[in-house]
Amino acid sequence: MKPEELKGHLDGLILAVVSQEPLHGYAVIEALKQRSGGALALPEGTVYPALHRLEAEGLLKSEWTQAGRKRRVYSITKRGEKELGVSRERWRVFSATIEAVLT
Amino acid sequence: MNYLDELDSELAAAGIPARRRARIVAEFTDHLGENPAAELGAAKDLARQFADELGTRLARITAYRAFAVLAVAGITLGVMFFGGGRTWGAWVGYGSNPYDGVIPGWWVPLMVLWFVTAQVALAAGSLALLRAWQLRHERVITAGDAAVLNRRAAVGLVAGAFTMLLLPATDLMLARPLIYRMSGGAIEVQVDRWHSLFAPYGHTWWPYVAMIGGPLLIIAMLAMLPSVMAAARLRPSREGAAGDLTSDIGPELSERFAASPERIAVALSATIVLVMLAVGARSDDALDGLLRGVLDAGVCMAGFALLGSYLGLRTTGRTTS
Repeated sequence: MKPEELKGHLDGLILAVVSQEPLHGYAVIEALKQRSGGALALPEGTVYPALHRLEAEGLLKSEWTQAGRKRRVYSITKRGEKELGVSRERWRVFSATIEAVLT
Repeated sequence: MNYLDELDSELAAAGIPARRRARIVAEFTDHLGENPAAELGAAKDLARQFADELGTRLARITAYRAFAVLAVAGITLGVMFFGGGRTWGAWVGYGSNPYDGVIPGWWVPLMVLWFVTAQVALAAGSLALLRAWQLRHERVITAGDAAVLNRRAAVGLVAGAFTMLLLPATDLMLARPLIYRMSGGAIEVQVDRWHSLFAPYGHTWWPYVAMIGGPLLIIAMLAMLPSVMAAARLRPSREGAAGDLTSDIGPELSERFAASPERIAVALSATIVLVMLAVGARSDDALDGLLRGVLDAGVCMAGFALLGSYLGLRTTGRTTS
């Protein structure tokens, strides 16, 4: 899948994978790859600016951990969970609409 | 130069603050530790993406915060103007003017400056809010829009701080109604009532609010300036014009009223005159209201002419940078 096709959905995808468990940046990218069966192979660096923005918006929070290597671990906030719900509903309506037209 | 050094350098060039930069580099170091062959993308592109994502948010937030502080200052002044005007007469009494009813000459430029800075602060703060609101759904705003948001916030805060600094001048503004009469070929401005903030007053809460709130608000406004400067450094890379007043009211309203920046400025000025006239008439002094309204409208139009390009009120045909 091309990165431009993900525009507008990346926030929801990140929130979805982080809502499962707190993850560091590399693990977020790996989770996106795994859960999409390899279809969501984004340019890896592009996820970090989105992580930082989502945190600045209060949808994610993060902290340093020092288990082995020093790394920043992200987890979802209450606001993030609400936003994830909105993203899911928006996607459900959108995909149902497109499917109704295409099929 | 290795990739991480290059990234750090590009992030610095994009205006990312040092602390954030160190964090980003640490995260990328961790990422490369997990997968040394990871394709993270060109350092320059990543730095631009960080600047786009974080700069957009910072510019918007700064505009909202600047408006919030200015709104508190405006409410404080409003209480002084309207609340004070109604209540002071009872406990200060009339005729306590230390200048025997005539405004001293040195007060006039101070009063004019106060009047102008108050209008500029109100206009810049409100316009910052308006533009930020119009851009609220934009994930990445243009460099021009970001510049306009930051400038409006900065101008509003500086003008607001001056206004509060000149708070004693409001003492004079509160001396209502003013009497205008020709004297020796010049307009002589007098007051027939004097409600002095510094005159002896009885037990009431409100002068204390003004005296304590004023300095606190000045501190709050000046304390916001570093974040405005940080927002100005962290500029989105997306090219684009700064827009004008029609961008502030939105495309729907602009189209419906066939609005142009000049028309909006004139309509706003006319509204100010009418409102001030109505307020004056309600206080049984329509002339005072009219004069204040005309003065206000004059400041509005002068501001549009002088600061229009800088604050993104009118288009000059070039991209704001």
